[in-house]
Amino acid sequence: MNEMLAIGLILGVLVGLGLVVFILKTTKTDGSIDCKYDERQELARGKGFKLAFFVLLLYNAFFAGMTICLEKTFISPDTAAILGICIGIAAYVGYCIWNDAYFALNENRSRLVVAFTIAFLANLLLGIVGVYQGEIIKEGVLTFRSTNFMVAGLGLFVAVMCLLKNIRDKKEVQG
Amino acid sequence: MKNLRLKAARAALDMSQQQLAEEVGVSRQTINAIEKGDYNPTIRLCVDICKTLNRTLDELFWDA
Repeated sequence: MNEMLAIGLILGVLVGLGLVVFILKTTKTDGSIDCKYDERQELARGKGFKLAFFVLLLYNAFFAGMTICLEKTFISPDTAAILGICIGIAAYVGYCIWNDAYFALNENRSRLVVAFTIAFLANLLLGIVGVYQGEIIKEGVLTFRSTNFMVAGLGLFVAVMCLLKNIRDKKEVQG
Repeated sequence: MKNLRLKAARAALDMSQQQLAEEVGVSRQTINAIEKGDYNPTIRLCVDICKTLNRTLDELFWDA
């Protein structure tokens, strides 16, 4: 059983990496894989990275404290690790979007939105399947299957941040 | 502090922020941030902007 899980995980990672390369390649206007940012964007992304680092530190400290204080944990360790990654990414992406440093200069936004929407829907669907199979929460503990909802939530967060940024920009132009 | 001289030089050439941004290889938001005074560009970017707008560094970026 553990061997099957390990093979599944390795295959999952390989497919995931392949998808990332495919998305990086197809969403660029110049056919390259690299994202090109200007100097202001690089600076903003650096600040976003710093913010995400401290958010992740705080999350880890909070989670460690919870584990020490609570007798029974409510989330499995692997799920907690993924949750931390999602929170860190959310902090980074949120800061970058708000400072116009999320989309690269050579990025086709509409293609990226399509790729993100597919990833969001796939994770949402897998999450719903998990709910129907009763595998999201087992014996009061949030299991690894809930990570699909976390990733879907991250996609939703990106969409909401882009929308809010758009509204702010429009207000700025009008004002 | 707003950089109105940059805005005026760009407008004199009938260029949009997007056009200037494409010419110098940055995002439109970066040009907007420079004009609004929200971002202090590097000397390299200043020179690129000056070359594109046919102006000197003094004319666009020097505060006497």
